[in-house]
Amino acid sequence: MRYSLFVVRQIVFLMYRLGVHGLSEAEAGLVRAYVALASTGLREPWTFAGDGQCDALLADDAPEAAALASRRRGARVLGFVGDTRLGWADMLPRPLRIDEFERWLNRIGERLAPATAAAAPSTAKEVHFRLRRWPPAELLRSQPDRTRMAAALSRQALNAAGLARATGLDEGECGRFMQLLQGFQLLQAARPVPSTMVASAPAPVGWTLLRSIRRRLGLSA
Amino acid sequence: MTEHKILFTGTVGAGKTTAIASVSEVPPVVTDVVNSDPSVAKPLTTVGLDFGLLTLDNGDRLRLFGTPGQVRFDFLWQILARHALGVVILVDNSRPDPLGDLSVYLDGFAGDIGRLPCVVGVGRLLSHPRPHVDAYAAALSGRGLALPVLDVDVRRRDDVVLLIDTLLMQLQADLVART
Repeated sequence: MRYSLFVVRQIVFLMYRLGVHGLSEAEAGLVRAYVALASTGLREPWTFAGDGQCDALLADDAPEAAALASRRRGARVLGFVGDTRLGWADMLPRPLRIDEFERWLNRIGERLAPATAAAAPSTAKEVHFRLRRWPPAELLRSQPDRTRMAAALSRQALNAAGLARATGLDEGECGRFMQLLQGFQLLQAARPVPSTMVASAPAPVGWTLLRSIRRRLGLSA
Repeated sequence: MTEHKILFTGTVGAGKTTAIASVSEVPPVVTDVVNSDPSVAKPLTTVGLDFGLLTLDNGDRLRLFGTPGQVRFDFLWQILARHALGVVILVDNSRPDPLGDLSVYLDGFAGDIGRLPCVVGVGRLLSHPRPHVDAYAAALSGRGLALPVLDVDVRRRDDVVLLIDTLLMQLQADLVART
């Protein structure tokens, strides 16, 4: 009996937990049923975590609210239910179908696998990150500072300190924005690579020129 | 005195001339003729180059070049891109296949994108909301690109300034990466 309880505890420990956020009660119930029904087709064991702590979160909410919920519940991967034409990563289309749900859950499981988790970058100061794709418009919320930070990260792998130097923004704000992007799997760890364009320009493209252009356009230096 | 340049490209009617006029300190030099293409509903179209001008406080000049929009002038695109600070690709979301239009310019500047800072400005989203601006990001991601994509109205100076600001941010990132 004691041995059986030990085995059960280990199995539960190895299971990934899928939480939901912002879904209707009916849809949450459907997800719960799918997790149970899809179990034979899944490469990793999953359990439905509902509103509790989870490894992955399936959300239907504004990106930032979903990211906040994801962090609060310890989720390492965040996915959305919605319009796949938006092209967001890990988007599950409606109506929820078990075959697509199973494929989606397997993709999420791959990202949670121990080897991937070990390689998953944090936003520690020494690690540089670059955008893997331009963020959803809702994440930038027409805020010029966010657009600037994203533009810099689209071009070069930077850490928070480097992003602060590039944009002139507060390092803490840069770090928080990078964490937000990280929550949406929009960043990839990369080595900083100097652009060849700067070296090939006929005249030095330096801070002096760029600040001069900014002043001429009425932008903050 | 040194001259620098930023390139504005995109389809006929995407707003290149308008964008340059929004920020240029002088009326842009425009090389328009009567449009003979009945599929494009505008009376004039650019067959040479537009250029606008900004004089910087040290005397240097920033030229804003608008490329001709027709694909038959694509031989000019690479020539104009040489030594440019960056490229603005303007897309008209009211056209039948704006994502296809974007592909044309990504292909046309394929040798320069990655080397040059680049930003995509999508116009007329208010009246034509599909494809959504995020679909452009997805299309770029499919090509392995993470270029900035902005919803803009090039008649508004602030929007054109934001496009240029986005190029400048990329150049500033380059400078930080070099140190």
